[in-house]
Amino acid sequence: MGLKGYLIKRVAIALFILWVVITLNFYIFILSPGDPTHYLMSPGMTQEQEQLIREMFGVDEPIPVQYVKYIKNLMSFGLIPPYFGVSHQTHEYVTDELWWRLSFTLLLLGSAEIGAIIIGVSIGMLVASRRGTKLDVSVMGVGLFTYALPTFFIEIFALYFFVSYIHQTAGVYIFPSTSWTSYPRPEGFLPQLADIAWHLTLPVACLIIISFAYWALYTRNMLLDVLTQDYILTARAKGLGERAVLFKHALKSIYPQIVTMIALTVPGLVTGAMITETVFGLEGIGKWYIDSISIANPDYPVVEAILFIYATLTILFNLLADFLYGALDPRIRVGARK
Amino acid sequence: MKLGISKHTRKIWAKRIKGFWLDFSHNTIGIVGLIILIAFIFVAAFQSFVATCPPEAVFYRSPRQADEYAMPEWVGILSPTLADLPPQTVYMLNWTEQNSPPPGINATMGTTGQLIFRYNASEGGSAEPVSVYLNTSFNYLYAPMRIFTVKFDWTGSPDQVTEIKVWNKYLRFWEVKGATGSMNYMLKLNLITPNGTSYPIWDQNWYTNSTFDPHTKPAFWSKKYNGYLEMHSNIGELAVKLGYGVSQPVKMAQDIFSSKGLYTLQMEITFKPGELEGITVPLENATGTVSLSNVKFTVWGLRYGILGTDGLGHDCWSQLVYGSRISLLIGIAAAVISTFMGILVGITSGYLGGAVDESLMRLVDILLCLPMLPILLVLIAIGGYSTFWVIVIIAVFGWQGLSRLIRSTVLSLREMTYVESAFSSGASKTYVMFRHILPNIIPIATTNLVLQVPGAIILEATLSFLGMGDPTSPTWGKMLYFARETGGFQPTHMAWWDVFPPGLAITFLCLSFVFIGHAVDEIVNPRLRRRR
Repeated sequence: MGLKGYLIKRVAIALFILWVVITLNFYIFILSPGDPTHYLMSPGMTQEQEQLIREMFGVDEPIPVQYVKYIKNLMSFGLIPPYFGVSHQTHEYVTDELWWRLSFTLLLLGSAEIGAIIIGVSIGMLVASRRGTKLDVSVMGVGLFTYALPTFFIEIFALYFFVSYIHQTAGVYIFPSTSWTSYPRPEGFLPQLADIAWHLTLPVACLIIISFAYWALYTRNMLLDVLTQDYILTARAKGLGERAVLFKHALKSIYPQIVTMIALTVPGLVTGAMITETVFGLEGIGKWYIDSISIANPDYPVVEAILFIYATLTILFNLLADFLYGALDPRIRVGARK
Repeated sequence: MKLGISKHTRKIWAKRIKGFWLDFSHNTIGIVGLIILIAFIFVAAFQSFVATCPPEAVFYRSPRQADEYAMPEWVGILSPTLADLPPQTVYMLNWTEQNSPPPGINATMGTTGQLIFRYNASEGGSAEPVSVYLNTSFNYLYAPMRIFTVKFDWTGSPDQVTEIKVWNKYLRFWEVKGATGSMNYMLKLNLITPNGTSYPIWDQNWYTNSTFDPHTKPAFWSKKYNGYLEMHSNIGELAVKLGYGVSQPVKMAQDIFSSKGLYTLQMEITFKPGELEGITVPLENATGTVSLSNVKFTVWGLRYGILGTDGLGHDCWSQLVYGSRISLLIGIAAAVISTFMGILVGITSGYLGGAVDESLMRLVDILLCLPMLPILLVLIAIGGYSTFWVIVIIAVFGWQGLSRLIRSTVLSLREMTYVESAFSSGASKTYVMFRHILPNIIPIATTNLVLQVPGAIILEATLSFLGMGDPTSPTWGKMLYFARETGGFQPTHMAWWDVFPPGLAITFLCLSFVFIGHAVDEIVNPRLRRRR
């Protein structure tokens, strides 16, 4: 089996997992007790009116037909009718709201991920070259501490001190406590951009604080492994400076691991953003998901659409990690062995 | 095949454990973790002694223990302004008569402490209303509170005018010929401030009349046989009665209690002969009693207990204490179940190999590829918000990594010469599994077990914080959830006593497990062992 066969096998498995998740998602809601549109009905309604409501949410048809429609609906990514269905709460198409919410969530996560990687990897490199110093020990300590610290607690802490406490003592909000933009939104492109950046500062900072230590520790351990290798010794023996050894030789060999790790951590971040969005009152898809599921009558179309996006992202990035690792690291090239 | 533990085996294990403990006791981080963990276990084990309230009292539907977001009692030592805040106080006040009772009223003390007034109109000799005034005072020496409550009960007998009816044979109906043994009465309650302002906070007409017009004259006489009053000042109607807006009960209470000093509750009891359809009861028949219990006046404190109250007025300290048992239970139970599943799947997969291995590992792949938190939320929304279910689903999503690790260990162990020699000397598969494979798995499993606990605790806290936890159990995550829902970290409340203790408790409990796990890992994992 060559590289092509391997690729096809991985993609097939990924598609299979995606199918399992969305089917489970469908059946969980079918199996849950009660008609999902029941709470919209009132005793005075006529048969036709009730039928209309059922048609609107597509629950009047037999289950196999519903299932096929559901799969078609998800596969179209909400670009063609029925646009991920109609939300039970807003009675609007889910797509209309989904894309702007998703774009804000991705903005939040993208900036947090990039920030965490830049800060984390540089600290990791710094620490690896100074093994055993106080700095090293303290970074390890911070890593252990963030492992034990719940995400929401750091965010509550930030909200408490940087928003509420400063408002109480100084009377001004140096950071906003809710939403993506000010209301009314400022005029012009640059002010709007600055406004969004201002709103994102605190959540992004929290996400970076949570995840940078992980990156630092990961980089440090990888580099320490590499720094014991013979070719580093050779490089040092050649008389290369410590800096050149670190950047030109050691760092090069841990690229594949870091790139793979980026792909592997993205899914966790996407789902983890639910908590951040809930604490900071940011109307992204995570908060929408929680708001739609934690009510007495879960808003199925919304939950189904967002879970589909979560599953797709998770599986896609896992697949990507697999490929990247194989493609970037010549030692693990598939088919090379045979 | 013999699986029973022989004396020799026991000796070996005792030695191993002793050696482990020796290593562990030299590990500072591990000992720190152990001490923190023991403290939490102690609190969890003796929770009913450590907590100040019973568990039902902190359930979110229970009555409150103090005002919402009351500060801890000890903040008084921090600054004089905080010391000025009223602590939770209940005044049990006994009535004293202000004037000597007018003729017609005899006051006696009941056996259970209530005051009994016997009314006999013929002694007074007039059909005019007579009143007796009762007073009770208490010293209020703090800044104004936000809510107060007045509570007492009373009995009046006979409850209403007893009719004397005569059966009219010819017209075939009961004819009222007169009334007997009765009186009418009226209770009015005023609150008098140190500077003499009197607030008519309650009278019997008020509720029965159901009009909250402050200018309503007490023209009605009570028809009630007995009753009780438990009036919280935060009902909007009282504010309206005293001339405030319906949403201003706090302003009303703060206005009433704006000065420090002697506050007086004044009760006015008025009697007069009963009346029925225009027929006045004859004076000699107009008798009756009214008994009045002592009054309980509650000042809902703005300082309370060890850690104050949350946004629902419940004791934070007790919630914190009860939360430790649930967190430990969920964390340890989920970790034990998931470790057990991990061992089972790992050994089965690694040992049996072939199709079983392939299918189990594909299952692990699938589970690792799932977006965990969203699926957990869906499962909880569908399966219900019980502690047991939360443990089960946390455990089900937690064993994949361990099973992979154990599988690879088993695969390498299987190739070891001593395993091979055991097989060749006729040992069965089960024997080898328990005798040679399992002991080598235990160190990995132990480390994993300890390190799984903080993950499970944080996951449970996250679920509770998102409002998806068991609503009947006071968990740390739920404390933070309610703090968020009721604005605990908004500038208006800034309830540090409600927000930080649960968060720090989660952190320290998890940290203790991380420390212990770190130490155990260093000891049992030979790669990490330092030379001494």
